[in-house]
Amino acid sequence: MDDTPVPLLQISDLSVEFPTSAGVAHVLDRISFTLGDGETLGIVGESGCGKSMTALAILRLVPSPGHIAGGEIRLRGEDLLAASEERIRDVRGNAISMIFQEPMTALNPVFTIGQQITETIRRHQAKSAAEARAAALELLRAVEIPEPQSRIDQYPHQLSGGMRQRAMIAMALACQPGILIADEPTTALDVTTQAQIFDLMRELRAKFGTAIILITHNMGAIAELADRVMVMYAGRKVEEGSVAEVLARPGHPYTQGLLECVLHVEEEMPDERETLAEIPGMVPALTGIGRGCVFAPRCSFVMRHCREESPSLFVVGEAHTAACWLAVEGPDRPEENSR
Amino acid sequence: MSESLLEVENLEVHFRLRRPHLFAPAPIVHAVDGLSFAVRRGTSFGIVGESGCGKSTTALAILRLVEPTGGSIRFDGIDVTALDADSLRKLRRRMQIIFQDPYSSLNPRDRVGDIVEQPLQLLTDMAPGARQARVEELFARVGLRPEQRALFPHQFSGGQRQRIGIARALAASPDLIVCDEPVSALDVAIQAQILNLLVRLQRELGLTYLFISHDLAVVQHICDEIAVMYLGKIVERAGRRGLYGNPLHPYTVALLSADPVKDPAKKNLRARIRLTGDAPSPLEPPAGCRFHTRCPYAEERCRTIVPELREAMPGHWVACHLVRIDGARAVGPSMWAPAPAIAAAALQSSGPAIRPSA
Repeated sequence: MDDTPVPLLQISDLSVEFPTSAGVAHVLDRISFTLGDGETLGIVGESGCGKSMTALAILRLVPSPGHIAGGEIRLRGEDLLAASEERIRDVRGNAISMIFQEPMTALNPVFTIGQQITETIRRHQAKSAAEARAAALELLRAVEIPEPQSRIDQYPHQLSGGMRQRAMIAMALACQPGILIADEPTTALDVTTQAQIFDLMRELRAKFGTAIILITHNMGAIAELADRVMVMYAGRKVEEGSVAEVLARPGHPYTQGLLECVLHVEEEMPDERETLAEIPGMVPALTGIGRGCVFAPRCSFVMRHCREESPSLFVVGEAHTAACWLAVEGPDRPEENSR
Repeated sequence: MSESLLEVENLEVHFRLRRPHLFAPAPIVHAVDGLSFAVRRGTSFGIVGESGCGKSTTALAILRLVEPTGGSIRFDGIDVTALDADSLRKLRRRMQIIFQDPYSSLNPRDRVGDIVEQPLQLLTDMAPGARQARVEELFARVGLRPEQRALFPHQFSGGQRQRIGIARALAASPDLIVCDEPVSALDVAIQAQILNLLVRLQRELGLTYLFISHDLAVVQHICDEIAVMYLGKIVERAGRRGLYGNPLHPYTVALLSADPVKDPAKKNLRARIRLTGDAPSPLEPPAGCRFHTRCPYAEERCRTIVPELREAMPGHWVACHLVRIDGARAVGPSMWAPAPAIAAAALQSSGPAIRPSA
């Protein structure tokens, strides 16, 4: 028997393409990663970097005319790309579930939250309506919605933003999935509610042992919740490592930029207002990306070689890789250079 | 010329809802309830609070985009609340607004050059040629290329759209710009670009900002003076150094606690108050201190007596019964002993957790 356990989720060389009038857009370009049991993996990057598309691809929900152009998605060894439509419907909401950024648009406005949660339960489990309702009530209690007995019969518009997000989490956890994909779960919320949702996710993770894929544009959220982080840019993975390692020693200039952009409340205040670190420019169009590093046009450390050849992922530390030529070319690590 | 560009006194905005039935009294939303503050020329004044605390209503009331139901707003000595439509239009040349959502605040059918030109058409008597030149200048100033004027909003990213919104607000050379959550809809990487732009424009043009946000880290970077709002009232108002260095109101400490930590290892070092649940409805704000229903320190008097906003230290105002003055220094929650009931609650995961500072 093989001693190495089959990973919970293994993605290899996943590519997603969209045909556009300007040519084929490589929305995901050979993305590979694994997710272990009970682990929280953060995926971070700007809008349009492909992080949400990765989540949709895992559930085989890539919107048309886009399609998965290559690669493998294995759930406990089972090839999801080869699975039947019927089988993938069993996986969605049961083995892998997802919560979305804007709970107002992700919940159905014409059904009560109780109806929406019980629908999920009854789709996957042989439970009577009464049993499913009792389970839904229990879930609302688990996500700390006050007065669950009356809230269960309310419609999404009757709940506050924070409570809607809690209801979404309750629905996602209905069948105790092994994997929860959280796509910007707190971005639309107030800071105080954000903190509550992070606390809740931490608690639920401890209680149910759910593995989480946390998708966000904010490195602050990664520091709050994730164990490991994968940084994406223009449909590619540019860095991966443990959160502690990546926060302390970012190997890619883009990661470094993302870290510097996060504003924190500072206890020491300079009198003069400092200019904030920013990443100049914006994400490139995904059609007609030429040779060379995709980040080169925005990179402050760019060298001639960067424009000629695209870097592959180099090992920069223990279980820490970065796709940057600076990571290999001598002792001049990016963070030691001044901008 | 007075030092303050904007003086708001006892501002009150109440919305009357529809009667539930014919003989019932109309429910009243107490959106803004007796707000007073002044904004000095060339500085930035921040208003922070959660959704529904009345911060955006305050912003709109100052521009009279909603009608105040009480109090006064003086802009450069002129009483804004008393103006007729014609004088109000003249005054609006001098006070402009940047909205939160760069998608819904630009008309998708207009070319962006026309969007930026509209305030010039409506509020100034510039000749068409001069207007075109001004639009070009504005595009360059906010970091867009002049030839992009002919494009439509959907051809721009979120950050670029917010630049267009800023150019439109700048067009008629205003003195005051109300920024209503200008970066909260943007990616962090783009937020920094827009904040840097706002700071640079203020320095170059001597602008005065009224900056509305729910994010204390953003406000700390931009603002000279800050008011923290809760359910329609100011609970604390102070200069930047005072508010962040010595926060006095438990609600301010709670907002500061919610800020994500930079370093996961230091998670528990700061005094933290974690709020549970949502703020009560402004339809029936709680009696006494409006924060008492969520405050871990609330005592009997907090439930009955409304705390007045008082000057605890020079320039540092707070509305809380529990703030003590110890010599020259006011003592905030970080130095209060946690009440016994709270210490017990902190052990439960759902209760308000208070951890003393290191």
